[in-house]
Amino acid sequence: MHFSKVYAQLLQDLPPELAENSFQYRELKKLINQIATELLALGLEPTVLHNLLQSEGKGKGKEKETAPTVFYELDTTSGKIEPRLRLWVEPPTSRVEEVGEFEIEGSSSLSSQVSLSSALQRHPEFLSGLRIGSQVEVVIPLTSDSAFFQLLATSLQTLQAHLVTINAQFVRTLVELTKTVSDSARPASSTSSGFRVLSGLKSDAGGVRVGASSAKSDLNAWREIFALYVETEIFESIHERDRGERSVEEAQNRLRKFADRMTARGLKDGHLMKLKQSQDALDCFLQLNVFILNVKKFELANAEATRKILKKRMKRTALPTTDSNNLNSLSLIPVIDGSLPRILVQELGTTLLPIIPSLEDYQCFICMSLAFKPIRLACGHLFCVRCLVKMQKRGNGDCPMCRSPCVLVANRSNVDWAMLNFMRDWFPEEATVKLKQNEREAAQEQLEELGLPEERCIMM
Amino acid sequence: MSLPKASPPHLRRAFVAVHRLTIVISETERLVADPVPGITAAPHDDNLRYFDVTIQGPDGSPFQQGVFKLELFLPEEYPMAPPKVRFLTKIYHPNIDKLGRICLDILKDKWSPALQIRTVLLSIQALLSAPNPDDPLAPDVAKHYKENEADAHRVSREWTQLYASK
Ligand SMILES: [Zn+2]
Ligand SMILES: [Zn+2]
Repeated sequence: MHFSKVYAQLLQDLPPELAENSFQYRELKKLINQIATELLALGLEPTVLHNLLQSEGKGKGKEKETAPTVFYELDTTSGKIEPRLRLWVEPPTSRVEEVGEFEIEGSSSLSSQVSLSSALQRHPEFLSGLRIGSQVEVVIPLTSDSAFFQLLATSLQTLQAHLVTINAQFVRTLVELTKTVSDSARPASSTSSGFRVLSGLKSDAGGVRVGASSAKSDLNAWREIFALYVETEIFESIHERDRGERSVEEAQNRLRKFADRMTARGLKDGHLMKLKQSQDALDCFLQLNVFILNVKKFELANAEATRKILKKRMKRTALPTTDSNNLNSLSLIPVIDGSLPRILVQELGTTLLPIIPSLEDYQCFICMSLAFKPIRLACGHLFCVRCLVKMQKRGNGDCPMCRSPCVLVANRSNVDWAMLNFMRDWFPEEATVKLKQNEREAAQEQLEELGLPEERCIMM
Repeated sequence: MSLPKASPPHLRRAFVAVHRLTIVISETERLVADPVPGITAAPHDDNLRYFDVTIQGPDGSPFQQGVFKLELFLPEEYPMAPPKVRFLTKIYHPNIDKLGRICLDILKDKWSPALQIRTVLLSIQALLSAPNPDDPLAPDVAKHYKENEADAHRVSREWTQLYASK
């Protein structure tokens, strides 16, 4: 299939606001044909031009004087890209025989040399007036090629401007979504009237009542969704094996997998999502991800289209894409580097995801579950009380993270009350589970210390 | 995860055991999901605390191209106590003895409960790159390494080819 068809097909699959701003592949193709016609009129069909451009810099010896060497130049002084050919030839005469001197080893046919010669006679303005020895300098402006670059540059500039708009739109939606999610995933202190702030001064009489609205919260559902989302690594891998950005196909598969897993967990229906606004927000969240995927496809398609059209131009006309003297001359053409999807993923990661504290950031590095109750060692590291008690019993005195000897001296005064309240507020279920677990483990250890196997306890 | 308060002790004990196992399982899952290059670790089906491990000899070391089998066992007290690791493949290395026992500080007095299986295996791989004859477990090998390193490397390479080739 021709790329123009593939490209058109791809754009059809994209949302209209993306597809409308793609660049004019067909128009550019027409211009390539025009360039070819223009060059042909000069006798510069692709094989001829190719050899003329190739001979450049070569043949320092005897051929240098006779072989016309062609330079392709991109003049950008006017702010536009104005391509031209610069070459040195024997002055054009009406006599065909003399023109034979242009001929380059194994390349051109005589007829094309005639064309170049007669073209020069028809266009005396091509002669710059410079003359070295017997040769005159000829400068041929390439008008269709200029139009080609002009259109390409405008297309890409429009595209880039559009990508900026897309980014802004995305951020606006994301900010709205973030508000909705933080409103529906509220911590315990804002939903239950019984939440009391604990402090170390008095064991609980110092409790303070906070915000007594009894609204529902989808905190747990959202936490699970975000954890699942981060784990699925839809757009980027952080693994040793395949670190970096994922392909469109891979991202698409993973996004589908993510949606399937949420359905399987019952996160998309009223089961685990109590609030209507949560369900709407979840839809929006999924749509934003589909949007990122589409932007990824769009950028890829445009990068590919740019590459293809430049390749086609080269093939049909033998004109290079860089100035013979200045390799950076195409700076007027903006480069679509495909970085937008990455930026959008990052925005999502820094705006939306952090509004719900993740368990990973509050886990004890020994037992890998919520560090509850949290004990802050003198060195600053935080662990759950159970793990530290176990370490103390074994006589392990060094902090597991930094090895400073502060485990054995830790006591009640090391409870981090602010952290404890924060954990009860944001991880109410996990904190309760952990507390029960701790009690159970402590009870069992006491039995073991008494030397009573548990089976015998049942008999007693 | 919760049990009724009046659950019988044997159930309670099972519950605690399960909780401890979840640490092991979550670590195992991570190892599978994000494997370390050149290292594999697979738990036994019938005993999730027992792992079959392979470590590839690091490039540039005399153990290059070798694949070494090890066994790793997580004791009941893990992560308070270090895992027990042993080479099953014979290896000519000053810090690994005939029985495959390894002299590595983090497996003994320098163990920290915050270390994980992953860290341990990486340290063992590093030990293959950088043998330490000053802290030997196999005195004869260490002596060889100190007195004629080139010749000791030759023997290490021979053993690698003999016992650890794929
Ligand atoms: Zn802990
Ligand atoms: Zn510390």
